Amino acid sequence: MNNERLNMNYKTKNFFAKILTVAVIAVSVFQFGSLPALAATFTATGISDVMSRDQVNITGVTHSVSMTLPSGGPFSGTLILTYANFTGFAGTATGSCAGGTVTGTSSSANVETVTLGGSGCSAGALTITNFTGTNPSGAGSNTVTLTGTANIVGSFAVTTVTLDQVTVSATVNPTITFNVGTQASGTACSGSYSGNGGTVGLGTLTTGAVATSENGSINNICSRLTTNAGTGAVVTVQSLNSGLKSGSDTIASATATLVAGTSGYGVCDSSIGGSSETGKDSTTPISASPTAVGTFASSCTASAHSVGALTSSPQTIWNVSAASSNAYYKILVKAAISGTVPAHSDYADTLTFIATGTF
Amino acid sequence: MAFKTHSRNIFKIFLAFVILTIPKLAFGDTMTSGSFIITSDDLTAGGGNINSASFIAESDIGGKATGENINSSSFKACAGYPCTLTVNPSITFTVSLNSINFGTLTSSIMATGTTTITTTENATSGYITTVVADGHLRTAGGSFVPDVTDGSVTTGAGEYGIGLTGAARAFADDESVTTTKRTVASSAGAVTNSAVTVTFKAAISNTVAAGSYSQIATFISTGTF
Repeated sequence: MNNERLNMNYKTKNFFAKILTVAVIAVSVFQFGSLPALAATFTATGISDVMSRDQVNITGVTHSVSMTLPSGGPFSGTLILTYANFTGFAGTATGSCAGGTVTGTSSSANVETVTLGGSGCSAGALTITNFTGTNPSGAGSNTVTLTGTANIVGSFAVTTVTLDQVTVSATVNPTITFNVGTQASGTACSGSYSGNGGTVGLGTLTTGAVATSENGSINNICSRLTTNAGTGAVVTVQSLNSGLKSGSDTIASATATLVAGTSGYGVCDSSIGGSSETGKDSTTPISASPTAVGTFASSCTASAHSVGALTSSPQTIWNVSAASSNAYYKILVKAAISGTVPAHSDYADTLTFIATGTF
Repeated sequence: MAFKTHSRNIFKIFLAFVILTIPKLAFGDTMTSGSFIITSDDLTAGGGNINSASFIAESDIGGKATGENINSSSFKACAGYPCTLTVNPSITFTVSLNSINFGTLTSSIMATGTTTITTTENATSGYITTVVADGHLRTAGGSFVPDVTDGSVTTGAGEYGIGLTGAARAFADDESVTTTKRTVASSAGAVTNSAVTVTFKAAISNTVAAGSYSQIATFISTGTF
């Protein structure tokens, strides 16, 4: 009886011991089982988004996202970029990745979703471009998180700033300077010419020769212009008498090639060429070149006598088409007479040169 | 006999408990495979993640207390096991001056004006700041001050560009500001108040056309996390 009771007591305790054992195991296993077992995710690195503007509230800001996918792919499915504080996402994103395709799926509010397709995206560079959005209204850092069924995760940040631009302004005042005067025969005209006024003595005119600057001791005229007029400037010449005049007698000016024995008078831009005749400074921006104009632009040297007619109205003798620094031109004066020109010792004319810029 | 058996059972229970609880303390480690990740591997009585807007920490009930969160305005840290601290990516950027007026330019002076661009970020690969312009420093009619090309804006030369000062500057000479992005500042890692002063420089020659000139330069700062 005692043995029976003892055996009964033992069986009871053994039963409860087993229950306890099972309970301990169950609790322990339950602890293991309660641990979260998640689908594998893979963290992208080197993530950046180059935006076209960082300033707050700007609309239509373009985004260009790049990142590096880790090994463990290829990755297929959605990749969702959620931009904190942004709004107005739009556009159909495009992109690229190693081994697969990146296709824009949706673009709205502050979420941009692309699908990694094809054979899936393998480890390496992934880019997403061609979507736009509206920047947040507040300046600061804005977190962007990566999620989606492709199991690519990560986060990065983009900044917004109150003002992201600098407006630079300046004024350049209009300027024009001009020198014109005579200088000794054979003297080079140059960009450093500083003379003003003067006379050109043609000497005693004869039917046997054309009197001309650069011949003997007859002076030439040098003219020099500097201007920042955007559309250039013109140099005009105006004759007081429209000819060489003495009293009521005039050696009329006309456009012609003067020859000895035929009455004529005029001026021309030297056509010899070379830096002693015409030129300009070497500048940045490039100075416009002086250009002989119209009837004054012909064969004009000490021995070539094509001249333009001088009138009482200003006529352009040379010009520049844009701003120019120290543009210069040598001008020759020429005259010839026939046998019928009345003799006088005081034939004269006054030439007035005017430079006018167009700003 | 019965007592002996009973003692053996008690020992079994104790052994089972020991076997099933010791590994929690001895073998905590990250456990992953190609198809799963167990994010919490400390087998104790409880705990979980604690989140705020700026960090995530993992708590543990029954684990050995070895440390605490350590935070300041410039860093966050935690000690002990388990200790998981997430610092959110961050980048901020400022442009100190948004308008530069050179006034009246002449060929005898070089006009200058400055703005300071400052970036603070915790990106692992640092940041770059670029500048891009809407065109030349130009007039409405299309005249412009030529871009510097020889590395130095020189008085009287008819040149426009920028120079940089600051440890994070991208170049040491004078460079142009054009419609093509140009990097002006960068770092290879996290920085606090990385400042670069950008000096805009304009020098004109006699042939820079008269007029009112303007240009808009846009700065963009980008972190790589």
